[in-house]
Amino acid sequence: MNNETVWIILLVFFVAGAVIPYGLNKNRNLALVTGCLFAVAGSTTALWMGVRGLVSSDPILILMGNILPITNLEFYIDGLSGFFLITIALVSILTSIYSIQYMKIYGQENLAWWSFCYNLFLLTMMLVVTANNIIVFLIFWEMMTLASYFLVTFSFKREQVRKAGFVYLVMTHIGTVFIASALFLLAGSQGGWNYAHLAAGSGMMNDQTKNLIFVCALIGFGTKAGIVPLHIWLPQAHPAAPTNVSALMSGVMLKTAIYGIVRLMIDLLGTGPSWWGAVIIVLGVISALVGVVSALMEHDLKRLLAYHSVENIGIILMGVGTSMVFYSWSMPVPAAIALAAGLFHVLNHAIFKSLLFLCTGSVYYATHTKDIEQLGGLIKKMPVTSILFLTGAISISAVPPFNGFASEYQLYLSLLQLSHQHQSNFWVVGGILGCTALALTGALAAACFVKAFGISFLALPRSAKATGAREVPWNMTLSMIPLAALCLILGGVSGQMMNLLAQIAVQLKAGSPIPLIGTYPYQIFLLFGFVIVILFGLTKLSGAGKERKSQTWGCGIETNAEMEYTAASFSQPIRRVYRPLLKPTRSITTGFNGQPYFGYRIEFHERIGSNFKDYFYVPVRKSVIEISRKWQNIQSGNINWYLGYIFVTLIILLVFCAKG
Amino acid sequence: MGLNDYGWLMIQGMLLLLFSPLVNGIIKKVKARIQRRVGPSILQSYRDVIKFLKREAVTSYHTSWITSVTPYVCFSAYFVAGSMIPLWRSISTSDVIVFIYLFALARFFLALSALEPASAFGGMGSSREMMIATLVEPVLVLGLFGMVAFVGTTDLGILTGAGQNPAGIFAFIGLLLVTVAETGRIPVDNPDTHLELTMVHEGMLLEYSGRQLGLLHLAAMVKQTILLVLLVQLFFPAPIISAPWFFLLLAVKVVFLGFILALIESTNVKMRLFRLPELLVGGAVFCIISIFMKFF
Repeated sequence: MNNETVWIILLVFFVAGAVIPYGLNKNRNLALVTGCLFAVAGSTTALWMGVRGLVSSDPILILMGNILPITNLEFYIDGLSGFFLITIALVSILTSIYSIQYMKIYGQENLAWWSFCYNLFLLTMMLVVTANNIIVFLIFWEMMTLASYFLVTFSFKREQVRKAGFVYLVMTHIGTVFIASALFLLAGSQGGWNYAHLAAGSGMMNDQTKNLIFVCALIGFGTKAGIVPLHIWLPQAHPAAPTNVSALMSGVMLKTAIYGIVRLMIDLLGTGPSWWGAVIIVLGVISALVGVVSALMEHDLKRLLAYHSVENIGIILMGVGTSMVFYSWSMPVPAAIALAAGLFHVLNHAIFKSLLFLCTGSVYYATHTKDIEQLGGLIKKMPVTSILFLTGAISISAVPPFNGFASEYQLYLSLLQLSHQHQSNFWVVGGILGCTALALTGALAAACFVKAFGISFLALPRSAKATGAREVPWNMTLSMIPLAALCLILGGVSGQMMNLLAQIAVQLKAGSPIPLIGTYPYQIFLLFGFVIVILFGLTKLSGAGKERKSQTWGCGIETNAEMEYTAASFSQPIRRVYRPLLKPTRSITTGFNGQPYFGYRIEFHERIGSNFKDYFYVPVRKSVIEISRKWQNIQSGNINWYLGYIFVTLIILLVFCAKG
Repeated sequence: MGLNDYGWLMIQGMLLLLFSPLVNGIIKKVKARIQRRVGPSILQSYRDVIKFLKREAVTSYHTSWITSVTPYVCFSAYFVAGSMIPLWRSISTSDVIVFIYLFALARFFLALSALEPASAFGGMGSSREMMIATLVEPVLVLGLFGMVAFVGTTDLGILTGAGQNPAGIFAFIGLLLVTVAETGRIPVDNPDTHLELTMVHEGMLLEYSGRQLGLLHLAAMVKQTILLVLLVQLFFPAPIISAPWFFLLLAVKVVFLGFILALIESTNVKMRLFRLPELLVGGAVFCIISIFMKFF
């Protein structure tokens, strides 16, 4: 089959998945299953195309004819697009299987509408990363944003959801304005629309235009990726959306922005000055730290995971930025390795984050809450889900030998190279400080997931909802098992993955071949397993394998769920140590019942200050309103005035044209 | 890596394992002498561990497989970390990043298991341990990576003796502070008690008993020894003249560092938990001075 046919099949699958459920809407269940199965079929096709694009040395070009007004509808799958296509397709397949069961809790809603948006969302994400010219890119980018907006506002009857959707819509549209400006600036100086054209001409551009394009693209894609301080939509939109949609948005939709950054800044714009890379690394570090510290303070599982997306996008950007710095020093080999490290983390984050979101969905399915403080003891009620969640938690905390560690290890090496190259004092210290920031991020992430897993899955249930939890149906767990397995497998084959991904960079920059990239000594973990097995064997042999069960020691009082540590108390020391970053305010009121020493009621409130809202968004909003109010004066409401405006504008334009 | 290499790793791990209760015993003895007590015999740690290992393990009703698995995970993580420090022969699998993250692996499971019995003590220990880890790990990375970036490799074998220069003195002070924090000693934590609300590490072990507790105690001793061995190897490595001399000198140097730890512990008081950032930021400053001295 030739590529065009496969691509048409892919489109047909998704369009069928979007439309057919409308015909079946009488039987909601059937509509849902149909929609999801078409999504699985479409994503599988995409996976196949992605693999072909990644392994073939020549990019695949797909021409779909001349149906757009100014340009062709054409697609292009090189290594980079192929890699992102694989990432999106992999997560989409598993999430779609999961959705068949999960969406039943929304049984009363309009599932055909969900299916429509869902299929279009998957399709447009895939088309965004394979578009071959900027018009096609922008059209599908906008469609992707709208489809995801309607998925976020699926439970629109709740006011909070509508509000979150609005913030999402506004933020991403501001982003789109900047992306469009960047792309049109780029195309404007070339007179062509497709990527090959743009890449060829970018060498002739002057530095000022290049810098302007860089800044616009950074703001535009940064908004979608959730770079601090443009991340505020993320923690609102993710909890509002159904959990399977959050898994996709967080796991793969954010990555389309990373794709945009890599495509535009490394491929199309050519090599920039080293400060571009520096800016991206610094933004990455800030995003990683702010994201993870904010996540620690959250007790809503989905919002916690959303903040971790900010963190991981930061880590990915550190890799991309390092790569840009190396390119600016004309060192293609370390640059390719750093880019590969960033892309490896893209894949790893897609896998463990969607795993964690799907597990959270299972918890919600079983308990109807995602508040950590109400959970607890789930490890006994939901043994499979808890192992899966633990796998994701270990991976995201960069604990070896799982995949999160594998990519962060490579990133450490790249940052150390930055320092070791000895280009200037700034970079010597910068590289080591980057490593330190990465270590701090890792330690905070570990603390956060000890909290998230420990409080919600271990010890005693804290509410009736958690007490009554039962393991979710098999078809939900089935779709998560491959993700968990991938977490472990990708940790083991990190060397092969890195070598594969470095080829993408070679293809982008037509650089020299990359020597074999080393991996962390994973053999040490075989020894680790071996020691555990020996110890276990020794215990069994000595006949001491059985544990005796007894009460927990509670100073003589029988322990109960109210005496357990809570998520708020778990994060208290960190809240206090990182006070300058978080600005917490607390109030404690004690109710005394006549007796001065024995309070009968204590109320405790603690709020985390929102620095970005207070110091960035509120002033910006205020000044926008202020300026608009000043402009109001020209809106007199009198038609004569408006005719006058038009007349003056016309004269100015005529003068302008005459001069030109 | 062939079977032969695995064999060598196991042998080195076993050696450190056998040696580490002795180090602990010596530190305890020195502490006692400084405090004008007779103190327990330097072999007491062996007796304690053997006693614990013989006894039955009792766990809470609320615990799951995580509690049962954690002692094995912690022990193996430290055992493996110890086995990969190159001593008298180079080891192809020695890597400083993996070394640091093996500690993170053990800590992750220990902190989870502390939350399991649903008692506030464990939660307190776990929460504080993770907070301290967020301060310790960056300083550890800062101190070690200053040398790594200079030498240009993460192989611990090539890093051996990388701190033998004036800049190394500052890195050594920074990393010594990290060692104090990681081994749970005064002024960060108090290893001699679990009956105060100041406890961190002991708080996490509170619900463990019998062989599980023995294994965790042993793991903590191994951790202490390998941190000391690492410091010795980085800053004043024993010369490899012949194997017996090497081990003798290494042992003497490790014991000497243990002596310093005991001295710090006896001459300081425990700090308030929330003053720890100041201590560890101090450590970070020493590491940064070292980096500046080395590169500029």
